[in-house]
Amino acid sequence: MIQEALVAQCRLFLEEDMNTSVKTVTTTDAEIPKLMLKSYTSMIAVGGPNPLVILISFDTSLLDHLAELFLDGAAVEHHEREAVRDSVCGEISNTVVGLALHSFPNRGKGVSITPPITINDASSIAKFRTAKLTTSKIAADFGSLSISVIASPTPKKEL
Amino acid sequence: MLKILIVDDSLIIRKKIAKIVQDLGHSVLFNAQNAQEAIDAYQAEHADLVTMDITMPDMDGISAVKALMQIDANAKIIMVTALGQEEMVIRAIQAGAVGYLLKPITQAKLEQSIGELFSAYRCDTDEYLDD
Repeated sequence: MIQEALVAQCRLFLEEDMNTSVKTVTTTDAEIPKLMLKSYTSMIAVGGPNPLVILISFDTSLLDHLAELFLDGAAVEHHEREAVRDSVCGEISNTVVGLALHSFPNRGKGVSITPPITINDASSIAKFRTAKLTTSKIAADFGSLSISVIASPTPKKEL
Repeated sequence: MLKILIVDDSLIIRKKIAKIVQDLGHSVLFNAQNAQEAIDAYQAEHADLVTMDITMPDMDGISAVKALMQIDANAKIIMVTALGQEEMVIRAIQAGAVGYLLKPITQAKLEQSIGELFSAYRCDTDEYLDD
């Protein structure tokens, strides 16, 4: 349910707000021992009845495309380039998770989200003990992104 | 033309709002990346409008609203927020903010907010809109 909501909102955001076509969506809910991260990843923790962690990870090419659209012609100095990428990664993740909240169990009531944290130097996250990992890959024009949810193995509501 | 103070720890949001502000024919008084910079800027020169991020390091947007309202009880502050921050928006409005902008921020949304906020002043006086 949460994974589906995140994917649906991300797709909507890409297609309607960013004018970027989504080609395919692939969701893997089988046992994943390790999560492979793309170049730029943002992490948001969700508190409430079913605490979880959401990671949204972008190919550089897609992130650069989205940054260009996001900036809409605003100038970026060369030294600001990395900061802009981190910032876009965080802002898009924050927007997608925020928009998906109303589709969470109990319409997201009593659910809080942390500000996004950008992870730059990690290539993978290994699952620890019984954590449940679900991941979706969204292939779009200019590259792909992944949305992953890390949750407790016995959530009170279905993911 | 309004003088607008932009307060956000996100570089991309500061750039985005600044671009929209300029495209709408207004001017950016200052781009503050934290609450203290915003307070210092507002003390130096009062802005006609402030766009304020809610979640920022060190001092959050609600505390910043309270600080700006102490400097100027007539300060006009719009909160910039993502969904899921409704409780904080309510607290910010209780602290003196006059409205909010929901992300993703677009020119149409900011233009509408400015229009709603300053239409009363447009009828009574051109103090805020001296184009």
